[in-house]
Amino acid sequence: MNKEKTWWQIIRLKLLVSTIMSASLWVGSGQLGFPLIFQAMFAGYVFFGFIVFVLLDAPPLKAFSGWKAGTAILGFYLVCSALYITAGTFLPQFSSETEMEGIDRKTVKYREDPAVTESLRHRSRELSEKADEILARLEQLKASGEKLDIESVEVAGFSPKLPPSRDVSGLDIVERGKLVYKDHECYNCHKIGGKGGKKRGPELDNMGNLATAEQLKKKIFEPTAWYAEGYEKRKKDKMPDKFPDVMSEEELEALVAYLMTLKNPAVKTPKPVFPSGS
Amino acid sequence: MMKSVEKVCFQSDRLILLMSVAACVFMMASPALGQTTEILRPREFPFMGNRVAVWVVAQLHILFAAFILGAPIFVVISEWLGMKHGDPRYDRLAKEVTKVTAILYSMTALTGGFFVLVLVAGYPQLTAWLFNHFFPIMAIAYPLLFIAETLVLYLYWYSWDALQGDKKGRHLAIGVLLNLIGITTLFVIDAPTAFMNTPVRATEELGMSLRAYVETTATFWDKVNNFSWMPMNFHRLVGNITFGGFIAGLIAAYMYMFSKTEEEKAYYDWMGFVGNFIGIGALLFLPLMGYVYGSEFYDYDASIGPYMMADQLSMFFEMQGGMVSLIFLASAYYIWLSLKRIDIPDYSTKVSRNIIAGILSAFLPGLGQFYNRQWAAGAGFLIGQAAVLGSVLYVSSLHLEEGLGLLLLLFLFPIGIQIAGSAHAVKHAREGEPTRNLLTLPVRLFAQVLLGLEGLALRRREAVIKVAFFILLLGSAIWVTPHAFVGAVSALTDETAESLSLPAEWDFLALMPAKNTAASLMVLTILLSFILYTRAIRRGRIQWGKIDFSSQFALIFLAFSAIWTMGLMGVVRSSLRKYFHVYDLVPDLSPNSFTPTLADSSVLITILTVIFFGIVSLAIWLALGMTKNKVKG
Ligand code: HEC
Ligand code: HEM
Repeated sequence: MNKEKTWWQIIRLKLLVSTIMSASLWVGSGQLGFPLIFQAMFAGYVFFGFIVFVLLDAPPLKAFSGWKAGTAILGFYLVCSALYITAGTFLPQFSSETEMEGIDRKTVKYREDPAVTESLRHRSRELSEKADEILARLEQLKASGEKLDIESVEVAGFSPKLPPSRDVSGLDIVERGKLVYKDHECYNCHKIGGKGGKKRGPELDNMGNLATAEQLKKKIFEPTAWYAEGYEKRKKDKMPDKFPDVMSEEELEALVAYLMTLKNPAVKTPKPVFPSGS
Repeated sequence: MMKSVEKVCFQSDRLILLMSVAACVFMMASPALGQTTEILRPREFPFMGNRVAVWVVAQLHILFAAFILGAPIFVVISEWLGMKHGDPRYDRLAKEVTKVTAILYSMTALTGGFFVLVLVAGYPQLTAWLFNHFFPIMAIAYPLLFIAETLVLYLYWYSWDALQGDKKGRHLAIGVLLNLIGITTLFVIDAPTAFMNTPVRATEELGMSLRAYVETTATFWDKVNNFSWMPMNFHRLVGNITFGGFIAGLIAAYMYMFSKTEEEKAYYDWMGFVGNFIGIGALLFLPLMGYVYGSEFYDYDASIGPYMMADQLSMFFEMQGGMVSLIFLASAYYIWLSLKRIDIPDYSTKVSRNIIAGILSAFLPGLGQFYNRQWAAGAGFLIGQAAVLGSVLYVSSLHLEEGLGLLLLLFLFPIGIQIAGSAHAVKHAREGEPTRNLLTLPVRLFAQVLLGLEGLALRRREAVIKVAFFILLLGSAIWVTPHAFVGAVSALTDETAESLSLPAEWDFLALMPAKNTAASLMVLTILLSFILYTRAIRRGRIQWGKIDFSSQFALIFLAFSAIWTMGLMGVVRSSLRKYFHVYDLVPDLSPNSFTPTLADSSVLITILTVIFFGIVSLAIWLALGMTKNKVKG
């Protein structure tokens, strides 16, 4: 049996190497223009690697059993749980509030849907029946002389929280169009003003000079109607064809009004190519 | 002595029957509810609300279902290995896992019943709508399948001891039948689930809206065979095998820790090894299958890709990258600890000088083996190569650059396969006639290179595994490098964009080709470590029961993390539907339609994982711990 190393013997060389590595990664990535958070991440990787390599050379764990093993297992689950909750909590989060605002705007279309309206009307009818019922009960209670806390009366089976639909009627049509652009995530594939997704679809900054409003409407609701120059054959880079299913006429109208204001000839927006014969 | 266990099993039998009947009643009743939507209004679950309620029951149900689906696959393979090698340990392993499965079976039925209850109470209209569209599944196929599964599982379990010896084949056949039913159940219920994500669209020629098409024209089969159905089936199937393997590892770890005798320790050490082996073996396929699954979503709707990878769900994938990296590292750690206790007698082979000639002959060994009448090896080799080539071509047809990462596999995979066959080929070649000898020269050279490398690798195995760790760490570092540290693109402002995003010229680090290369590298590293490991086992003498105790925590960690990841990906799949119940078709107009944040999701996933572990631990104790104590004590 070879003599067991002490912890310090196990750690020292690794500590030296990882310190040098993380320091040079920190400085190097800074020089290359990585923001602070990425520098920290790189250094963090090295630290994690350090732990892994120490673990590899750690002296064997002494076996245990019985209640000690039970406690160890429980403790281990606790550590894992804490680790994952912490990781999930410390990663950046989005705001559900902002998302909900967008959803409210986007679902206006469905609230106007006859089937949905029908069910809402149905709900409101039920609600008023319930209200009558409660009033009747109130009358009864009043008659019996009991005190009643109105707040605590719950309407059984109803979620009173039907979401409000955000009012967009007051907005200027171009402002409204910007919201539509954002709500329907066009930015994930297109750039305007240098901002937006990478390398999927063309930059739209000069769209207003290249196509008419009618053509744009057609493109958004029927992406195969025409193509941006240079994209005709790129099978994998394509516009989604779902917009007629999820976008209302009102949204489309506003979106196109916004796109028509984009007239910056300095940006090379590819021009439309129409299929021959049309 | 065995009485108490028998009693527990008996009670769970009755419970299952009861639940199955109850579930069937629900199943039959629910479509009828479709006609009476008018009187149905959603109920609000107290404290947690409807969404969390359905989340909890669905996730628990899927975890139990995945277990009772994955474990039998594992069990039958094990039973077959036992028959083939005449090694009774395999049979014991199979039986023990089946015992735990039988107890957890009732939990599957119980949570399934609750699941439907919550659906009907919380989302009556949606449920009725779905049940109407999938009537043949919901009302006929699914209930029949799980009744059949119940019966066959009991047949399998109770005929175990009777069908031994030369009747073993028949028992195996029942096991295969059990798996066929289980896999069919999975495929069948995946249809509505996948449909909710990718409801079938009309072809462009038809020019119909999604709603009109689904409601009027699409056939039942169109709806079943939607874009994400098959990839989901296979992803879940393989995922469930991984899961079954890791749970077997968990069972082994528990039992190892509480074993009193050396024999028991040796057995459970071995069981942990087998569970881990199967778990990782299946895990290696998941990155590629996940990629195909994702591509299918992308094909369905090109906006889903960026939504997942760069926008709202990007941090969920950040978390997934971290989890998968940890899983890979933990399995490598287990291999490492396992290797440490193998005694390899002095073993050395000269590293061939003709390395170049050997490598050049890399493409001939398949044919060479045919020549050597190694039909099976030759065919296996060619099939292996064709499979890899096929998958590379498939992926390359999606995106040229992304094929590159896999190309690496194309070159290295055959080498891996060869390591297994090479020793044999060399021996054969040496004994062959002179002419044949000449013709197989390239094979011999190649084999010699490999043998030399193998010898070198075995002698320096600790160094090799450390290099493997380094590569794994590097791969995971690339995998978890995000394009920006932000929850959603919409949250980036002009001020923060620069300080949170990768510099433009380093953007490629966050793009698919880089991620795929990293993932392939990790898969490959694990594969090669595993090959080295199995070679070491074959060369040396493994001391079962002598493994470093911390390996048992690696096994527990693997099970816990794999299950946590399943929960996470469940959230991702549901969140892909955005504010729809059925994507782009049935909107969610409730106040719960927003995406749960990663922080909230992590808390709930952890709670669910812990509940699941509590129940599984209890089942293990009931099935195995109690008997043992009673018998021994
Ligand atoms: C999944 C990525 C993706 C999304 C999301 C997307 N697009 Fe596109 N878009 C493309 C691609 C790729 C092209 C180029 C190919 C083509 O013309 O179809 C394109 C082309 C266009 C064009 C023609 C550009 C030109 O120069 O001729 C317009 C206009 C357009 N998109 C508007 C939109 C709007 C408005 C939205 C949001 C409602 C949107 N796109 C969402 C990928 C996308
Ligand atoms: C007891 C036998 C049962 C088996 C073997 C079984 C099996 C399965 C399997 C394998 C899945 C897919 C989960 C995955 O792998 O990710 C699944 C999902 C599902 N099961 Fe079951 N199940 C059973 C009982 C039930 C019961 C009793 C119900 C309700 C009455 C039910 C309702 C569902 C539903 C609705 C899903 C879809 C979940 C989703 O959205 O992903 N199951 N089941």
